[in-house]
Amino acid sequence: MFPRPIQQAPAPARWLYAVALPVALLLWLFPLLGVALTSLRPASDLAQGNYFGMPSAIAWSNYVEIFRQSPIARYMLNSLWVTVPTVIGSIALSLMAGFALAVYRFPSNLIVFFLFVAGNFVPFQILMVPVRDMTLQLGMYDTWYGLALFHIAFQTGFCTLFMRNFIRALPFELIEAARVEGVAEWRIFWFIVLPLMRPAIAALSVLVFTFIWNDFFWATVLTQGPDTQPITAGLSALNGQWIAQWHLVSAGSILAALPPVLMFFLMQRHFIAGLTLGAVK
Amino acid sequence: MAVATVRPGVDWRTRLQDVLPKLVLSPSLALILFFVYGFILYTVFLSFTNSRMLPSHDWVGLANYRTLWGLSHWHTALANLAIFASLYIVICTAIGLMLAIFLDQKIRGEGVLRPIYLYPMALSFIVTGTAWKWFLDPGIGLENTMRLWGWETFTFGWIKDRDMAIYTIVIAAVWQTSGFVMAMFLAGLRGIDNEILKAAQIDGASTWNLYRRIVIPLLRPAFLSAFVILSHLAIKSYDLVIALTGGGPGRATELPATFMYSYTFTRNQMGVGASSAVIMLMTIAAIMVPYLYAELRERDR
Repeated sequence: MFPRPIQQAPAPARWLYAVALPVALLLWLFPLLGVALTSLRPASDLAQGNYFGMPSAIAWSNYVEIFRQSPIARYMLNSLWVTVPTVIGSIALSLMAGFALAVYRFPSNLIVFFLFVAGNFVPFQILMVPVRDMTLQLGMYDTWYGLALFHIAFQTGFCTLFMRNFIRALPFELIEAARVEGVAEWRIFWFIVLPLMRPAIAALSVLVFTFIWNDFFWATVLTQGPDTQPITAGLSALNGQWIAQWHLVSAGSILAALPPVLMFFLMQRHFIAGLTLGAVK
Repeated sequence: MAVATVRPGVDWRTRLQDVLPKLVLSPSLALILFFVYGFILYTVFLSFTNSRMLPSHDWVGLANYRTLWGLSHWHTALANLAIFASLYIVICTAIGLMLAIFLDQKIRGEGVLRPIYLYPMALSFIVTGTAWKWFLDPGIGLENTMRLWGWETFTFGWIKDRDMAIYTIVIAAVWQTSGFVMAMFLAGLRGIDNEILKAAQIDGASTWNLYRRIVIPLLRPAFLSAFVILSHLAIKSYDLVIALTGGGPGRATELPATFMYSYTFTRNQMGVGASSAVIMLMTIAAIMVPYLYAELRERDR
């Protein structure tokens, strides 16, 4: 059988594994662990130059401190306010569009699909000026719904590509059989296709959630000030204020990282399936 | 009369069936046509106008492009992009492939290892940038620690060095994405027909040859998608530079994405900013469009 389990490999190969594995793991985990450790370090450690060693005490108070000293709770809430509507909106839209593109054959099908896919790869910079201009004119600048609206518009391309490919991979006979029985198209969608789409919806929700939660570019273009800024932009602003206070910066970073990281580790199978399906197919 | 009232009812239902695909497609299509393609056209238009702080509609022809190509700042950004993108793509692909092959050896901890390599993708660079900035800073990071541990002459100040700063961006970017490339290759490896490999093994092929002559050539589609996705990510890179160096020291890590932002909003040269965005779009399109065209053609024969 190929590939063989590593336990059957020659001794040097096994040794290499035994050494390389922990080293690689440490390398990959280091940034997160470093930040986590620093977030629990008392300020006095940093003042004494103890950046890498063990903290002299565990300072949970850093977390209390950032809530007291900064509007971080507000930033997190703003992020949630933008992220949740975006996930719902882009998934609802792309389910419908993906269904239409996957199930019906019409002359412009491929062109429309191409528009969705290509729209995915557009550098945001080229949309920046008109988007900002329009939000200003519509009075949507610096609002959560302005940000969410544009996120939905830009995520739809990726989501549609994803949904369309997923529906394409479903057994088409199922739909044909239902049609022969005279089931209406919307019932086919609702009762046959939708239940089968659950894994795709889960994967896409996780992906879109992390994309939007982590978005920094649109947050800086479309919002300012703690009333609407999401956590990424807020954290960046706090970074400027807390120049040498690495313990606070780190605690803020951990809080910002928590939702997507939890989402990722809890739903990692969906996340990986989503990334690779979106990319390879 | 009775027939006449039934007929429209039937028509209504069949007509609904006919328009249904268009109906469910139209909201998303409208969004993307307006917000993506419409706005692209508008930016292209702005790149031919003398817009400064606010969009203006006075046509100036190619003047912005001439200004753009005359700016040393823009040439720096392009040169940085060339260094960054080529190293980033090559190193990410190499590490991704290596990790994928290592993880594919039926090792016990795969379920634990895979997410660890992939998790940086789930994090914002605004978060992980904190860690990298701190690690790379000579005063408190690696350099300082090595010196505290007794290696007095150790120096690692790339992030403060005009010539080396761009490589720190490469390191952090590789760390972030190579797990993703690994996942793509892993999916590719799992898709290879085991029979071929078994046959080759029975014929006495060594493991090295097996990979070089069979596995890696079979991974061609994964290489191609990795290349396309990585080049697109490289051209778009923005958060990374902002979080790590802010474009500095000086302009040493300026990329087209940060150039565009600063010319448009900080320096109030919207026309020049727009023309730089158009060049970025054309670069991506030159890579993407042939790829997508070939992909879609092939799939829908």
